[in-house]
Amino acid sequence: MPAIRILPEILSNQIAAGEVVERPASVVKELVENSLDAGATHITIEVVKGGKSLIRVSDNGSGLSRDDALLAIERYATSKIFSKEDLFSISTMGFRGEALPSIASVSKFRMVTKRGDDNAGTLVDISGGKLVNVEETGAPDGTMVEVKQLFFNTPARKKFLKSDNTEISHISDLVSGLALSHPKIQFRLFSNQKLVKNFSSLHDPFQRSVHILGKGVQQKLYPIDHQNDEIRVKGFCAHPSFSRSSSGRIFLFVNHRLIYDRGLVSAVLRGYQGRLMKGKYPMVILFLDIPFDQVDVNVHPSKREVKFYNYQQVYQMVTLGISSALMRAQEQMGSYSQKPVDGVSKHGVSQPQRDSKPFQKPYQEAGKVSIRDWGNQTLVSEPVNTPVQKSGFIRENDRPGTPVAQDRAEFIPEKPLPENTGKSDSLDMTFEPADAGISGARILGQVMGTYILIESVSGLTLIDQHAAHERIMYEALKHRYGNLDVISQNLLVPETIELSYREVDALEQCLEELALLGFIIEPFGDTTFVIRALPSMIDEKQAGPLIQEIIERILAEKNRSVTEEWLEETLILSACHRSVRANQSMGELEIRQLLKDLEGCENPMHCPHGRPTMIAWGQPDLEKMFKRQV
Amino acid sequence: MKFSFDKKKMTDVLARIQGLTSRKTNLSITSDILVHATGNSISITANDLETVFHGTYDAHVESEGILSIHSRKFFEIIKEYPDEDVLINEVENRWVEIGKGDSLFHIVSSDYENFPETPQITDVPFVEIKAAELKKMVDVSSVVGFSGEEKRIYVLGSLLEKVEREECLFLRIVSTDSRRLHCYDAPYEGDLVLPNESIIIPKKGLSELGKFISLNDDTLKIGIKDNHFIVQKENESMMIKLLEGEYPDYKPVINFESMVPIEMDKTLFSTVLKRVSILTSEDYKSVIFNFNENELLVTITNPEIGESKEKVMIGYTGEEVKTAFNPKYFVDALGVIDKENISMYIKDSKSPCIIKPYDNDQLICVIMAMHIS
Ligand SMILES: Nc1ncnc2c1ncn2[C@@H]1O[C@H](COP(=O)(O)OP(=O)(O)O)[C@@H](O)[C@H]1O
Ligand SMILES: [Mg+2]
Repeated sequence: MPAIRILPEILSNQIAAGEVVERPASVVKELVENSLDAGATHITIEVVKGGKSLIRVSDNGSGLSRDDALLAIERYATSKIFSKEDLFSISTMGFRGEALPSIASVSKFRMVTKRGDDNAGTLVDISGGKLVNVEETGAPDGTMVEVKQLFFNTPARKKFLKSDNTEISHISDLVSGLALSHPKIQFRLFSNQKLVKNFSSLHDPFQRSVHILGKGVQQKLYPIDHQNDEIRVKGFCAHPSFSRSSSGRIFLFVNHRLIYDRGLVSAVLRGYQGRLMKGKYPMVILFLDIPFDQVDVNVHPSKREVKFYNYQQVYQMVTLGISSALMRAQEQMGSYSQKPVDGVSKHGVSQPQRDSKPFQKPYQEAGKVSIRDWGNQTLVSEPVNTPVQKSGFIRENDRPGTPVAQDRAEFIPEKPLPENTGKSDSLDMTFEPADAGISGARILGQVMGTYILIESVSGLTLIDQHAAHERIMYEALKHRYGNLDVISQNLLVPETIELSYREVDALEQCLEELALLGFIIEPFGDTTFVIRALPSMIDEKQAGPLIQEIIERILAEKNRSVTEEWLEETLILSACHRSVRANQSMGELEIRQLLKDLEGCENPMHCPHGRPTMIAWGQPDLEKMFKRQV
Repeated sequence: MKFSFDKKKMTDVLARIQGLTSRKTNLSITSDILVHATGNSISITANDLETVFHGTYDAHVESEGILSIHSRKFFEIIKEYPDEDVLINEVENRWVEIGKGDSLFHIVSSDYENFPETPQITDVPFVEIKAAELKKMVDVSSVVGFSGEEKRIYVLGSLLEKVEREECLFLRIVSTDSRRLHCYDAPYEGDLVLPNESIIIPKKGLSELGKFISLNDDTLKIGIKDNHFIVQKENESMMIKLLEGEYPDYKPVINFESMVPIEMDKTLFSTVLKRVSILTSEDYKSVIFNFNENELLVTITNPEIGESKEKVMIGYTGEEVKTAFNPKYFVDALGVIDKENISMYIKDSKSPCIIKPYDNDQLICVIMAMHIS
C-alpha cells in the first residue's frame, strides 16, 4: 500500500464534509472497509451492547508502520487518493482520510498494528480526539482497531442511538452486505462474545447469498448475469413468492460497495414486473460493475448513496438482468411454480425419487384407485375432436406427438440449481435446459369452477383459470399493440381536467408522447386542460381520472415513461375485462388450449397483476405433507 | 288478505317489470313487488329507487291487505301455474299461499313496511304524446348506451327539452356517449311546462319505459314534476327520478349548415357498412371514408385480420375528404332512421359526420371522427 499523504487542501474541500459516524454500524463499516483496503482475508468484528460499549475489528491485512499509524489518525490523512483525477475514479473503499480521526474524536480509541516485515507493532491510544499514548508492542501481523464508549463525550449524539438490538441488526445487515460483496474473505461477527455470523472463506457467492437470504430460498434463487460493453449486472434474485413488504432484502452493490439507491430499487421492481403484487419487494442480491468514471459515490458522507452519470442505462440493465434471470428460471416451469417448502433437503436440491419403491410407477399404480375414476371412463376412447362437455371428464392426452404423462415411468427430475460453480469468486451460474411444460400435462378437470387441476412432470398443479387467461390476453394485447396503428376517437363532449402546477409541468412534458398514444389534450388556460380525443381502445372510459392517475404516477416515479405507464395500465385493464372469469365452466378442449397458450407466454407464471397463475406440488412436497418423508 | 286474478293478464304485467326488479340496489327489497288488494282490484308496485312502476288491475278480492313478495319467484310461479285463475292467500304472518288444490306454493314474503315509498306527486301538468312517438324517443336515445362504470351524468342520462322548429313545438330527447349523439324531436299536444334546470332522464329508466309502452296504446300522458319524469296510461304509470347535473351544450354539434350534404340510400349504405364492420375487432374499429367526386371509398385495414374495400357512387362534388369512423355508430344510426333516403353531412377530416332523414330534421345523428396515426 502506498504511504500515507495529507490530502491537498483543494481536494479536501471537494469532499463533502459531514458526519462519518452516525451510529455503531457506521463505525464498523469504516473499520471493515479499511481492513478490506489493507488486503485482509480474515476479518473479525466484535461488538458489545450493540457496539455502544465496544466495537473491535481485527484483520490480517498489511498493517501500518509507527509513523503511518500516527499519520492515519490525522484529519485528511489517507494512503488512498492522490490527485483530483483519482477522486473521480475511486476503486478503493475508503478515500477521505476522515474516518479514523472522526471516530477517534468521539470514543476511546485504540489501534494496534504491525506490518509483516516489522519486528514490533505499534499501539496508539486516543481519547476523545486527544492522543494519550503511543508505544511499541508485540502484536500479530495486521491491524486491530478498538472503539470503546462511542459518543462518551458527545451525550447529545449518544441519545440518538437506538436499542442494542436495533444497533446490532444494523451491524449484522452491514456485515452481511460486506460479506456478499467479498466472497473470498472470511467474516466473523461476535455480539456480546457470541458468534452470530460466520461467513467462511470456503463459501461461494451462491452459498453466501443463501446464508443471508435464508435457507428457504435455496431452491428458488436464480442467478443474474447481464452485461454490455460497460456495465455488468450479476447476483441472485429470489422467486417472487419470497416477497417482503420492505426493500430490506434487496442488497445493492456498486463496484462491490454496498449502496442504496431508490432508482435502482425501482429498476429491480420493474425487473419483477408482472410477478409481484403491488407494494411487495423481492429478495435480490445485485452486483453492479460499472466504470469508475461513470459513478459518483461521494455524494453522501456515509457513502451509501451513489450517483450514476447515465442512470437510465444503468437502471435498464438492472431491469433486464433481473427479468431475464426470472425468465430463464421460468423455463423450468415445474420448479418455478412449486410452492416453496422449507428445507426439503439439505442442499436445496429436491432429489427425484427414482429409486424409492412405492413410487416407481406412480401413475400406473395410482390408476386403479385414483381420481381418474371420477370421470367417465368410456370417454377415454372417444375421438379427438369431440369436445367433452361433462364436468369431471378425464381423458388421456390423445394428441399424437405429445408425450403422455402416464407413459413416463419416472419423474423427470426437477433440475437443481448448480451448487458450486468451482471458481468461488465468480457469480456465474449456468442454467440447465427447460423442463417439459404444462401443455402436455394430463388434465384432471376443473375444480370449484375456477381452478384447473393437471398432472404434469412437476407434479400436481392447480391453475387459476382467470389469472392464466388474463396473462394470455395481456401478452396477446401487448404483442398486438405493437402492430396496430394508434387510433383515437374524437370526443363530442371534451373533458376538462384541473391540475396542480406540479402536475401541469408533468403533463406538459408528455403531451406529445400522449398524442402518439392517441390522447389529444390541449391547454385550456391556466391549470386547466381539455381532452379532445382518446385512444379508441378505451374510449368508453372517462378520461379525466385516467390522465390524472397517469400524471400522479409519473410524478412519483420519475424514470418511468408515460408510454410504459399507459401501456401497462390499459393492457392490464382490458386483459382483465376479456378474460374468462372464475366460476365459468370450461371444457377439455378449452382447457387444453389455455394450457398451450399459457405455456407460450413470456411470463406464464403470473397474471399481469403479479398474482401466481399456478401452484404445483411436486412429489417430495406431497410426501412431506403425507408424512411419508420427514 | 286473499284474492285471485287472471293468470294471463298478470303474467304480462309481471313480465314487463322483471327488468326493474332485477336491478341491483342497496336494498334487497327492491327485487320485490308490492301487491295491494283493495275493493275489487289489486295494485302492483315495483321500485328500484330510481324508477317506479305502478299499475292497478281487476281482481277478485276476498279480503284486503298488502304484501311484499319476490318479483321473479312470483312471476315464475304465476307463469307456470296450471290454471287460468290464480288464488293468493296470506295464510299467516307473511306466509303467502299461491294456488289451491293440486298445485300449491307457500312463499315467505317480506315485511311490506320496508318497501320503498312511492313518491306522491299530484297535479302533474301532463301533455299528450303518441305512444309510437314516445317509443321512438326511447329507441333513438337508448342505442347510445353507457358502460358499467360510467359516471358522467350526460352519458348516464338523456336530455329532455322543449324546442321550437318551423313554428311547431317539439319535445326533444338528446342522447350521447361522447362519441356520437342522437337527437329526436317528437310532436305533442298540450301546454308543456318544464322546470328551469336541465331535465336528464337516466337511460336505465328509459329502457324500462321502453317495455312500459305498448304500441296498442294510442296516446300517453307525460309530464315533469318534483324532479320526476312521469308517464301515465289509463291504469298504469311510471315515474323516473331525474339525474341532477348540467348537460353540455350540444346544439353546435348538430348544426349542419356549413357542411356538405350528400344524399344516400339507407339500405345500400347500411349493407356496405355491415360488410366493412366484419373486419373490425375489439382493438381495431375504425374504417376510412374517402369522399371523392361522385364516389365514396370505404376501406378498412386491420393488420390482424385483413382488409376490405367498398366503392359507393354518391352525389358529391366537393374536395376530397378522408376521414375515419367507427362503422358501428353508422349502423346504429341507420337502424333508427325509418326513411329510405338519408342525408349525410361532412366537412373535413376532423369534423363529425351528421346523418338524418333526407326530407326532415326530426332525427339527427352526429358521429365523431377518429384519427389514425
Ligand atoms: N485496518 C487497516 N489496515 C491498514 N491500514 C489502515 C487500516 N485502517 C486504516 N488504515 C490506514 O489509515 C488511513 C486512514 O484511514 P481512514 O481514516 O479510514 O481514511 P481512508 O480509509 O479514507 O483513507 C488509511 O488510508 C490507511 O492507510
Ligand atoms: Mg477508511
